[in-house]
Amino acid sequence: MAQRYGSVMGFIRIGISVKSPLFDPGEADYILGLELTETLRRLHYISNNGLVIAADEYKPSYAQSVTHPSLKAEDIAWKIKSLWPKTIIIPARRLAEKAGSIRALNMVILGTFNALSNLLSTEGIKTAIRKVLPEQATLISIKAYELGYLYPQQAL
Amino acid sequence: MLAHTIFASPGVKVPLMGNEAIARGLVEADVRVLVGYPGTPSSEVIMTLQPYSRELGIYVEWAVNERVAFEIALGASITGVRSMVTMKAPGLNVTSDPLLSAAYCGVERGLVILVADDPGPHTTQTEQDSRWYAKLAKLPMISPSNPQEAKEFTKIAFEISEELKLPVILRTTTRVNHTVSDVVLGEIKKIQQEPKVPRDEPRFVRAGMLWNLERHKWLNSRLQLVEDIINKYSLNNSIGEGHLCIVTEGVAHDYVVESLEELGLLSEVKVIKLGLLYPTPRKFLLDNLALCKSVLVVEELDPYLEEQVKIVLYENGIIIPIYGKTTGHIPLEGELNKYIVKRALTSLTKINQISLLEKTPVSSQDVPLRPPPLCPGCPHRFSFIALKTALLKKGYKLSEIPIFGDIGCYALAVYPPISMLWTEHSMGASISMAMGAKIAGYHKPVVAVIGDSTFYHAGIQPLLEAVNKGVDILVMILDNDVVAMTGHQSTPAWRMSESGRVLRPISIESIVKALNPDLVVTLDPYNLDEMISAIIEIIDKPGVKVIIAKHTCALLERRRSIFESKYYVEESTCKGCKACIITTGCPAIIMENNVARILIEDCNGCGLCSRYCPYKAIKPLVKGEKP
Repeated sequence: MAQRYGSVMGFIRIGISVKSPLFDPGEADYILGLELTETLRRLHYISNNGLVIAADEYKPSYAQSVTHPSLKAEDIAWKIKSLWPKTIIIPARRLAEKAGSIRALNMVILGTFNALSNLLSTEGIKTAIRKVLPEQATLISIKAYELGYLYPQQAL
Repeated sequence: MLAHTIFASPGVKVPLMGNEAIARGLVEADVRVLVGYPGTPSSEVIMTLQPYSRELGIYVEWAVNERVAFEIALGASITGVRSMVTMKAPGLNVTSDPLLSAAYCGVERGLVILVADDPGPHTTQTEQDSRWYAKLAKLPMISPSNPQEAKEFTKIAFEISEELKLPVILRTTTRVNHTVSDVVLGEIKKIQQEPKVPRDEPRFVRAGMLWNLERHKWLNSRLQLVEDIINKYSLNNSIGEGHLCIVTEGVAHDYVVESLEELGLLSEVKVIKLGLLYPTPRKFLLDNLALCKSVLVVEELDPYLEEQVKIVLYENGIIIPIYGKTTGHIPLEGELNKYIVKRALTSLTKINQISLLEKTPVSSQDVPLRPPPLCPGCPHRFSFIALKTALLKKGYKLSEIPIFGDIGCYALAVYPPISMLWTEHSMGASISMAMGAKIAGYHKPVVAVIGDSTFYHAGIQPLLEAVNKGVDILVMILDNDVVAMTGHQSTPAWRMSESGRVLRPISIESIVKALNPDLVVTLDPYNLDEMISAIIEIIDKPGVKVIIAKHTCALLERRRSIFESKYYVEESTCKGCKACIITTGCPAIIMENNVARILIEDCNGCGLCSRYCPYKAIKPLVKGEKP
């Protein structure tokens, strides 16, 4: 559901037999968070063995900026980790900028997710990126994906 | 959807969004006319095919509103070519007048109406259940559960429409329109379609009352045929056997099947899925319900199927318990999910509830809501701030000047800190409701705000009415040159449509001037001081005053790279007073660690925030520089 600057959640299911497009709280094997407060908002979707992978992005809503102006990225990251220790916070902005554009932040997350889950073939992801994006964005996206993919090895 | 999918061979499996699957279904069915009005969650059907309009030989265009779109499609269908019209649920209300008459004249080539309901609701003013329209208009309605069915049912709808010579309603919900899943493509068949307008007055002229009576009889006789005609398409089916029978349709069916699988109940319960929603498939339901001891109806929105099941069982003297929305097993509001379905199933079977319902290891966290705000650089933000400033400067309290709003992004001005919208009702209602307040005797100024596309869609007649009757209102037409909220579709002001059709632009100013209100001014809201002065000057004047606040949507301008600069907060100067945020509510500004920060990738460079910084801490950034 596209709501510009609003709160957006997508459900992705991969499996042999998938019927319901939605799943319930407590059922997510992975939560991929592009922003910290939004990750916290959806944290109850995580399952018992689930892993949270979140960007260290902090983009508070208007309400949060006004009522909690002193909060910072680390506060929310700490809150998420204290509620769910199986959480990896990625310096996604830094890696995306290194790849060439902050807009490739999602590719960084995808890279880390795939390095840890091993669910998708890297070649398949690269082919998909080449199919849907224009040339310039393709190079940046693939770079961002690779930086995200390598991040857990370097960090852990 | 990519070109290679539009033209891909049969048998290929590709991931498609429900709406893209419908678009591919239209190509497979050789549809020639596709019209509609943008509305979430229906818009992507038209958007998918627009770039390929010429290659496919399809007329794919947005119409000024749903009713006009429907009438275009009806005219085309009567003339012998397959046509589809798309809309969100409220669009069907706009279309209802010609819809009911169309059931009497029927069609020649297939005519399919796609209506997308929105349980939740996610993006719609009501949780309208458009299934009642099938019953009201007496038109066949079918409903798919997933993208694959969405494609198949689209093609089937055309076949049924042509067999019956009736328009067919293809009814979807958000989770069918917007879900992406694998779809196996089918054959693209070309069919003979010769344009020819049939002349048959009793059929097409609704002025003859005897003709109308005859056509009503004809319509009823057609409806008798539907259940037999659709048999060959397997729209309805059932799986399993058991004393408990579940009747369901649409995406709810998929929640039911998966819930039963997870509860290990699949072998004990019978699931009856209806693809045909109207007329009720009586024989099918009766055959399948004959041995049931009780029935649970799982559906979204109103207890529509529940009522049909009750009618069919009662008519056949079968009195068994029927559970659903009436009994409280399924909620009357909101969309369904597996949790709700499982809760209903566990209460009707002997399953230990606690083990399956309490499995979240982390409880839901209390995070401040994030309703979608006006975008960074939005010209409407300037318009509303100008209005607010002008009213205050004029000595009015904001609580005494009602602002009647309309449907579109500018309605997001209802949220703090702008808080400048009192109503958002239905397309075009701002001007007429403001007029109503005035003629009811409200003695202070009243304001109507309406967007450009909404004005074209349903605002022209209300303005005509206000001018004609001579009321004292201020109308602000917030013109950002695009249907922005639904994803930047074209308006009648464009020179070329998305499909490449050359348009004759029709400017709002020319329409407004033709209606001859007492005053018309066109201003660029980015010139904030000018806007403020103009409102101060005219707010108390008698008659209908129209301000056209014209500035292109900031996101469109961003795409065209019009902005030269962005802004940044000088951290050493910022005192953390929050004035920038509290005045503008711009989502590109955040507070972190007690200082304001501008998210450089989100800033569209309008500079409004810098105007309101009392410490002059917000400064322009030259393109390419880093703060």
